[in-house]
Amino acid sequence: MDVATIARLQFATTASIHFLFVALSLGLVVFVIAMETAYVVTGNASFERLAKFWGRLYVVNYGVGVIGGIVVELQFALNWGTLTKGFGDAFGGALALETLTAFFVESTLLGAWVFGWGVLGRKTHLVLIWLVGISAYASALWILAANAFLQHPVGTRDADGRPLAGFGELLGNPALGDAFLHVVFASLIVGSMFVAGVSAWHLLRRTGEAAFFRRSLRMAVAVLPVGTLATVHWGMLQLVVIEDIQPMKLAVLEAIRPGDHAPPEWIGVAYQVMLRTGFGLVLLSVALAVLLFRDWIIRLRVPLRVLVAAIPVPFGLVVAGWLVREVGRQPWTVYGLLTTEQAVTPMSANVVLTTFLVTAGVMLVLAVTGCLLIARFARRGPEDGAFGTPLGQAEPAGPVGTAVI
Amino acid sequence: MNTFWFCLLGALFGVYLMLDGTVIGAGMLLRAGGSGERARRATVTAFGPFFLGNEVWLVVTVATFLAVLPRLEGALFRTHYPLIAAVLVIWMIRDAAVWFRSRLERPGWRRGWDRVLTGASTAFAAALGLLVGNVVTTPPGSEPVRMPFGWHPLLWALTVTVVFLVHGAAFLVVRLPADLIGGPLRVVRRLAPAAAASYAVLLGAGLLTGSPSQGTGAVAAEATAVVALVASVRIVAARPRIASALTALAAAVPAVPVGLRLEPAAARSLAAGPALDALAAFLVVVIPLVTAVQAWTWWAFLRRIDARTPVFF
Repeated sequence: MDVATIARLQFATTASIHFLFVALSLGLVVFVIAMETAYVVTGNASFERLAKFWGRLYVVNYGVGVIGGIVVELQFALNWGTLTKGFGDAFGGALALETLTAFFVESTLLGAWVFGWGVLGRKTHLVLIWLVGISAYASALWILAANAFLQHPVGTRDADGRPLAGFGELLGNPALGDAFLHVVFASLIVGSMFVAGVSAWHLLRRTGEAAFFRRSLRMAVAVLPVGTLATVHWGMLQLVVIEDIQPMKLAVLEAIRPGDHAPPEWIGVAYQVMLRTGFGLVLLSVALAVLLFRDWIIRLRVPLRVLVAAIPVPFGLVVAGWLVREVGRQPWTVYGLLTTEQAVTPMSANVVLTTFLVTAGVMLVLAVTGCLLIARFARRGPEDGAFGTPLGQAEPAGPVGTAVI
Repeated sequence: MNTFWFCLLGALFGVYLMLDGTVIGAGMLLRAGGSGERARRATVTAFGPFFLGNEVWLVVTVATFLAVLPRLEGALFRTHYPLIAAVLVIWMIRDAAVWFRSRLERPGWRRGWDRVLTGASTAFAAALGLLVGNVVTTPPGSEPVRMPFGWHPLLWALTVTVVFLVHGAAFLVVRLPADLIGGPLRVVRRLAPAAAASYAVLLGAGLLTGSPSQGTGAVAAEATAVVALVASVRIVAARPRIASALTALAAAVPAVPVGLRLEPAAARSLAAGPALDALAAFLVVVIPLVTAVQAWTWWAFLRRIDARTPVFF
């Protein structure tokens, strides 16, 4: 295999795994914010339990996401040296802004939120999770601005013909706005179907927390139609932009004969899968919302089974969406200016292959372990020690260390 | 403007070494407080609230580097590709161990991840040291370094590892419950002189070889590290916070020779105007904001762990 193929495989693997966790983070944080806000406003302790249960799932998920984010971030500099050298002026700026918001602000605040339960004042603690959520969405905006620049390199050209985009040009990119809202609402679908699915599982199993999970189920199912309709809306709007700036991508998506510099035809299949399943989710979400009336959604049981089975579906859809957008840009890395073959760092294939195998392998193990842990905590249901178990009461771990401070 | 960006990058990297140095050091010293679960959990809890906020400084350093000096970063990463890839993998594994170790109650699970954490932290310190040593000895833009184990890089690896051990131990003396600080105190007392000696050897070697990364600035920085480490031994028991500040200074010192080595090439590779202006406008807001939030985090959580301290990691 040549270096470009290995580097592409590495990027596809690590970025896809990373994004699964990111999408759930973005969707789930909305629910955690809503629950904790309801707790602080009403003083009702059942909302605190909700915020802690879903908050712990959010944090474990965030951990795997952030490790993946580090890998994806460093990969640009390692494997895509010609891209960063030639286009770092514009692309690197957007990426740096993403890093500053996502890692810097979000991680710092999240650390304080995790360790702040019962230590900080309620309102301070609430402000922290709001800021975590806001910086998560701000970082999504910046990473999509960086991506939109690759899709459609805006900005005035320098003497060598390279685009130099400033703040306004990056954010005003026609390839950004609709795509950002599409991703935001797709993440909301991921988050609400996860919350609804996990709640449905507990209600089906009658795990003894019926009121608790009824509340989160109703919240999620009420939000779901907003997510599905908005995602389809802003997905369709992107086609108008793509027709304008990437005609070859549209040609492949609509299976009309493409010309030179066309992306591989199989993305047409990924596109059709995304489109049809997306429409199916619109119908499903509206039907489920209707069934909220008099709790039919719970009493009929069948909708609960559907919700449990549907948890993985939106994850598949977001990966399909990224394949359409990113593979659809091929053979270009910077559309019309730099091909993927040219963008890669000149490096020996063996070194790149070793790096790919090790990073992808480690990341796969982390992702699987992370999923198993999330599933385990989801099954356990609300527990008092989700956050803020003082060290003195830390669970005894076997024969050693049972002493209390 | 060039100088501003260059100093900013050096400061970001230096702050990273100071902050994550406590986590890497504590990770190596997981059993220094005692080998039982309570001592190990307390050690992880010591850096817990700061863990996420610390490591992001390296991500921010890399991203800002990319935005500000795109042509230098490309060359530097290509020259040190295998080593940087190794640092990345070790970093992932270290993080995974921190995130996963306390998630299940099974003693075997925790002991397993604890071994991973100690091993990965040691490898992390050594690999960062090797990287510093190689950046200092090999000009950016050279052919990829396949065997990064010259005597000078190895000396840096040793220095960084020992300094992180001392720095982590001083931090643990501040944070651990009073009955667990005996081990970390001994580590500071025994290893701080060794770390100082290691810096002194680097200093002497630099003076003898007269390499460009060993200008007056680097000599001054390494001399400062020697003094700070020696002083930390004397006050660690009575004033552990001040001792930690001194070891932090010693931990940040590698940023100086790295900066001096890259400076000549950096002058030629600054990014073009519009993107930098956008970034500068943003940084003026974000850096003070994050510094304020992190300072508040340290103020709110940097106290001795007691029975009421929340644990998570």
